[in-house]
Amino acid sequence: MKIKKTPNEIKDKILDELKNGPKSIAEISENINSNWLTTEKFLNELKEQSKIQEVISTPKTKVYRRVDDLAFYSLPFSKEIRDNSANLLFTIAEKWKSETNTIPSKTILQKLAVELIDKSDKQLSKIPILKFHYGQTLAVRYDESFKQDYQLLTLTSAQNTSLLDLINKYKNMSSSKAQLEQYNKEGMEFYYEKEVNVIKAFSDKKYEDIEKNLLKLSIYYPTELEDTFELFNKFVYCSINLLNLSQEKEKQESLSKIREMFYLLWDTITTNYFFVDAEKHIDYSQKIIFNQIKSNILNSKIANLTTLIEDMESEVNSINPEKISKKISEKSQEFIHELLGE
Amino acid sequence: MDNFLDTCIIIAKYDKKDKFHKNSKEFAENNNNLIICVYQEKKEIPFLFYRKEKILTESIKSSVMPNYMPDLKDLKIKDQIILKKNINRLKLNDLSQQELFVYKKDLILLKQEINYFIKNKISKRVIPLDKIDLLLVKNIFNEIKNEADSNIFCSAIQEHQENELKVITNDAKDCKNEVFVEAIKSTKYKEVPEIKYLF
Repeated sequence: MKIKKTPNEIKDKILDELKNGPKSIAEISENINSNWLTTEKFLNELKEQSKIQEVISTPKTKVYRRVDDLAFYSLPFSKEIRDNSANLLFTIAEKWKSETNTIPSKTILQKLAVELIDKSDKQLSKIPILKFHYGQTLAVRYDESFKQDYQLLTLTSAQNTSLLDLINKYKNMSSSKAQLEQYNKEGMEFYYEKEVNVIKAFSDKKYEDIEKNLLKLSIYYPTELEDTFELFNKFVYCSINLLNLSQEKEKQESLSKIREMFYLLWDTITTNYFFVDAEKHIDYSQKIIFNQIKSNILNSKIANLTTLIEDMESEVNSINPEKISKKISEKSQEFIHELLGE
Repeated sequence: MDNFLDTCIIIAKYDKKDKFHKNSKEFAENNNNLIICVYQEKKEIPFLFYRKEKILTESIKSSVMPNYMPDLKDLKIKDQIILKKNINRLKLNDLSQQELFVYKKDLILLKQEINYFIKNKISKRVIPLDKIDLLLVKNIFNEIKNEADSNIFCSAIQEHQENELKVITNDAKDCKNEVFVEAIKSTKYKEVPEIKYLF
């Protein structure tokens, strides 16, 4: 005899399904063995109860996620990636607590996890490390209130030793110091330049240093981030010209605009970085959902920033060049002449 | 009559070491009705500066990062030669990273001058990108083997059918009456614009 499921059972099943990432109505309906209409009805109820959200909503597709989904942007990472990443964070947090009697900050926990993976082989090295706004991170956040869902990982003795060493290293470190520690390693030069030189030059309000460090930052722009390169390049173009305005007052006024734009640009570039890195770890079957989430989040950021940067560019192109101070040496003129020769 | 400026005139106006600098500058400053095509504004000039800045960026990267393999994507053969030359000069200490940063800044400031000129001194940008006649581009390309110039000359010829214009150039190698005449054969176009060389 077929036993009819109660509404709460169906809703629990839906929530369980969404634990492993966002899913479409069709997928949920098939996996929980309920028809499309029933599934949609309970999805709507769960939505009203603020337990789930639509991540994609088009006339043809609706994709839902749990509001407490710990994967950044609710990307459809596999169950294995989600579990391994969360379990590693849990394992580190538990060890940290037993060693220090304190709770690690979220930043420290992520930085420590990344460094532990870097130093490890075997199964840990399979846990993805992704670049995001503040450097490298795992694919998921850590939330103590989900403790009951996590499992301690069995670490090798070498991994345990590394973990203890890292806890000792990080236990008295501030989050910003831990961030810098990570930016100092090979492959993180773009972040290092931004944090150590560009941000400092902005706070010191030294025009020449800002200019020099933006040019230096452009050397480290990650080549794989093609979608945001034009924005970055236009921003550097505008900034260099505005920072060379002859009138001190105009230059000062431009500085806050440049700074503000830089933070928006950084947010967009590093969002792009996250999606570029994340895509390498998304199963082929999940690419459609991944691309829709990417398009919702990244494309809107790019579109907003494009408008702002194009306005800035138009303003720069309207400045009479006589108002921009130039000291182009003979040597530079010779060099540029050879460069421009077609 | 409109003066259709070839890109070489615009570059020479701002490149003080160009042998046609004086003539190009004088012409651009003393004549009205200066026009260019959309292809120059939207494609050729931005891409030119993108490539030139890339040469500098890749040169510096090669000196900063050990074992760095320069990214040659989008660079023409001549760009690649300059890049290799820079890398060798950096190795021989004949050129410093610092100098390259200064050159990059100067190039960015030069780009602003050109953008300002285009935005404020050019009275018209002709032939939208989607209206460029691809058959005529192909015919011109068959003669001169240069994609950018083919699009630009094609735009000039198309515009000339509606509004008489004169092409102003320093490029006697590719921008020639016989190239235009040959290219319009077997097309709907009847007239080719006059060409004025500034040398």
